[in-house]
Amino acid sequence: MFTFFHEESIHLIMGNWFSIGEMSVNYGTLLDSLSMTVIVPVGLVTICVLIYSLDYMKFDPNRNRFYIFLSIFAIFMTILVVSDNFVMMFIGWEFVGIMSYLLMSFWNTRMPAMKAALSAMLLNRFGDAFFVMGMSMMLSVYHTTDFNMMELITPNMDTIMLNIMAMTLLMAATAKSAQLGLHSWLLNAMEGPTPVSSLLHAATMVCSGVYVLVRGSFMLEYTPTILLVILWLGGLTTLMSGLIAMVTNDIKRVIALSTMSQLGMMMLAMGSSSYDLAIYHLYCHAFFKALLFMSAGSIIHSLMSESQDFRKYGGLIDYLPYSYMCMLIASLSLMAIPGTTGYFSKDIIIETLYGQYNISGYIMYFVATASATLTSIYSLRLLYLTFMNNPRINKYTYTFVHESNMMIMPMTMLALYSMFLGYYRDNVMFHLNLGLPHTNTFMETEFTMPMMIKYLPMMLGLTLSLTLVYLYEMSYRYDYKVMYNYLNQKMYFDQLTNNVMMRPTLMLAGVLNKNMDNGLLKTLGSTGVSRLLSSLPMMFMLNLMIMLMM
Amino acid sequence: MSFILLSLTTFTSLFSRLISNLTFNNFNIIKVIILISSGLIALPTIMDWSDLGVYYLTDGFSDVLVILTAFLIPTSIISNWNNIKNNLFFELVFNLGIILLINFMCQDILSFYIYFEVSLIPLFIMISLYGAANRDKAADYILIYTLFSSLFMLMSICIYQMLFNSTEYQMVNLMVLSMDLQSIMFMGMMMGVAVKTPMAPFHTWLPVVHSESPLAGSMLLAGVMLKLAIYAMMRLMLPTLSDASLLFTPFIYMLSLMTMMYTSLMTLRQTDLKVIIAYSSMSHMAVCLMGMLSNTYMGMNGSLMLSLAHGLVSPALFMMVGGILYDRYHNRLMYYYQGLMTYMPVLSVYLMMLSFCNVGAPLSLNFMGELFSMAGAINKSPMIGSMATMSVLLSASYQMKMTNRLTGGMKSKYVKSVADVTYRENLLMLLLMMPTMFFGMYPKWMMEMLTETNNVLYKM
Repeated sequence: MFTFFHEESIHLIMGNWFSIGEMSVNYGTLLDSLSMTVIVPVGLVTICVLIYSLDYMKFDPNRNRFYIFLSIFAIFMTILVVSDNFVMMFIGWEFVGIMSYLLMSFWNTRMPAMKAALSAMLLNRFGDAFFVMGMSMMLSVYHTTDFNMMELITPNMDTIMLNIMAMTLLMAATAKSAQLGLHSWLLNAMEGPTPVSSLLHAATMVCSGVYVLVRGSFMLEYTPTILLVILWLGGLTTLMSGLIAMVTNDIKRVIALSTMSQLGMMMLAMGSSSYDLAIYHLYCHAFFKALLFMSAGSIIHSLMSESQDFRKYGGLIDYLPYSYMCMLIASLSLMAIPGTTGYFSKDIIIETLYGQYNISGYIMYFVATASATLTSIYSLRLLYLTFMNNPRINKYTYTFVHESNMMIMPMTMLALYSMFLGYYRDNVMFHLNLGLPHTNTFMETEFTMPMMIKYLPMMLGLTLSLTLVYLYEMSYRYDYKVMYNYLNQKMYFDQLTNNVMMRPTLMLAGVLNKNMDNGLLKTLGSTGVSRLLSSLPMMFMLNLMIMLMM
Repeated sequence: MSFILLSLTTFTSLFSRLISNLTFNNFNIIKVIILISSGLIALPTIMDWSDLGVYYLTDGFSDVLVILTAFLIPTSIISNWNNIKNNLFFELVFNLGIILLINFMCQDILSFYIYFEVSLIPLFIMISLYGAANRDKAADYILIYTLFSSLFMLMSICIYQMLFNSTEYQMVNLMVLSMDLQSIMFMGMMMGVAVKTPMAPFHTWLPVVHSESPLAGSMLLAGVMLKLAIYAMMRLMLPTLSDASLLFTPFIYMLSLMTMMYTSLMTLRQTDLKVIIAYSSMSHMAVCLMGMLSNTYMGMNGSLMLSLAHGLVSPALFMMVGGILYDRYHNRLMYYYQGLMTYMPVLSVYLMMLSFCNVGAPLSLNFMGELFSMAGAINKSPMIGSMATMSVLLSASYQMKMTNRLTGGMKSKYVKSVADVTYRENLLMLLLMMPTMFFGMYPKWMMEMLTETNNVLYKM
């Protein structure tokens, strides 16, 4: 029943969007193993989140708008996944960004939410600008944007142009998938309602960057430099987000950071040419990360203050046992404990990094191992502080803490997936670009991996997370000041972008507005001419006087 | 046939005034009569005719802009339906429309120039009579800036007249001029185009004019008159001064890139809503110009599509801030408004949709235009073209900042709540938005109109 069998990919052309010169872009769907794999989490998580939000948003006066936005999001996510060319993919790409803006600014009377939405929109637009650049280049170099056609042309393509196009795609994916440098929007995005975080910022939208890169893998395979960039970018992202998550105290932000970390893992997989593993991790990760967010939402929803700071939770295991169970399952899956879904998708990525047998691969293997260890630590920290710790809220609030049956249903479904989905990996592997030399390192990995290397991530994760117990139970103190502040402030990245990019740009605009637009150009233009005209008679007079005096 | 248009406008004015007198100054009848005739003036454009040796006809290029103009005249008349109660104003809009329509039809460079200049007269009167506080300044600005710069254009046209004793497009296009002469004439023409587009150092008139002019004036100015520059570039410069245009392309590309970046940065620091939209038009027009000069089929098509798209979206945005909001609050300051989503939800929906159209979200015509223009520009010059794609980000920065500010937040208690969008305003918004979305999803009909763009390509 669950064995691999070959399926013909179906290419449906529903109509012509535009054709210009010899270029023609269709409304087409490409139902191949790649899009069919990705559509599964999109559909399942969407339906789960919709059911979940029926209860979560029950008392919101604008809930209809919310459900409509979620459904529209699902439409455009589907377009993004099943499209057969880059221009049509851009419809989905752009609109999931727009829907993310609208959903994040759903509580539009809250200024932080509006600001977060604007920040997300603009950072996404930064990526979109590169996507447009890439598409323009494809149109002028390839004269087509159709995936199948491009795949055929790519081996004969000019290397420099190919590198630039791959770079633009990578930049676009960096913005959408919140990789290092353009990641700050994802943490701000946690201002939005939790179902939104669960659907958009864990399972589907943030993964679209990875999806686009895998779609463009036929280009990436011919640009090894860009692959190396992807590898290192993914490594740095996964490590950095793990470190930040260690000291973050907002429950949703920790989960968002772990999403970022897992997206970094997918980037690592792509950087080592293992596109199937990236997509497989995308597929599995969607379920347990959505579940993590849903459990967090269940906690936030049941607290009167709707606080998100888990230092203030404590002892919730007695009040929210089912949410605890779900969160535990999702966390174990995230930590890649053998037997859970996450183990099958994540561990093989780390192994494959080593299995490349080159220097970047070795370095990244240890980076990824460190990141996996960090994942274990912060997941346990989250669980511990939320559910086990001494109760920190007032007694009155505890009297209202409750599970919601409506929210439990989709959580149960996702919990089952988080446990068992990983077994059927071979059913999902689709051997993308298998004809090209570098895409089958995972086979080599399978047969040449030293035992120690294979089990290192797991052993480190399990042992080092014990240090957490030691830290919290035996030697609890808050005087790791410098490091703590540095990481707690997200490595001062927001401050960096604000002070280095945003403010100087706005200052420059202000200076230009004052001295150029309303200064120099007015003086040389309208004002200057009028002054000249009004002082001309005076100049004649002076001239006359001088002449008379002579 | 020009005579027919002339008599139509005279008859409309006289008849409407007469009826109005007969019905004891019932002003509504005037508006209705002018509205109906503003629809009727599109009819002569179906035909071709010649007057005084000048041919008036349309091809694919002009068709697109003629349709846009014919569409925008009634729209702009409806936009000022309630807030201006004066016969003269509507007659001015009507006549401005006729002049613009003929401008796209005439097949003669000198006539083009004349109509180009004559269109300033109704606009000048309109702004100086019905504008906002600074209206005198604004009227002077538009008149002096465009008139002065067009004199350079006239100089180039004089050279044509002197050399060929004719300025007909067909005639002039057959001639090949020496490179020196072409360069001089190109620079002369470019002065007119650069001020009208407007390009960065010559743009100071546009924000002032847009912010002070009455709504219909803004709509027609942004929607149609800025496109005259693109049209002039394509009609007057590319076919005859082709070598010079190729020679000057890098220069104009730099200028466009500068305009695009500079105006986008300016927009980030503006507080006046109408000025923001005015600056955003400049940035989009710069992209249009890049597409037009890309010497590729795609870039030119994209340029015309973006012209059309901008001609629909920018008037709608002007209508939004200068019409709907201004009629209610008599204020154009961005910081005056907040939380529109809470008490004007329909308006907010329109504002968001239009903003996303304006920043070039796919499935809107703006996206098509922008993508093709960029593709053309990248084809022509990969470096400058790639930098120009940053306009995607920059346009989003100012537009979304504005939308975010307007729609978000609590309703200020110092602002009285008002009715949401009325039927008239709904109609206008839909009229302007529907074509944008339709052509964004199904641009085929329009692209078929533009197949003649091929003829302007410089084939080496």
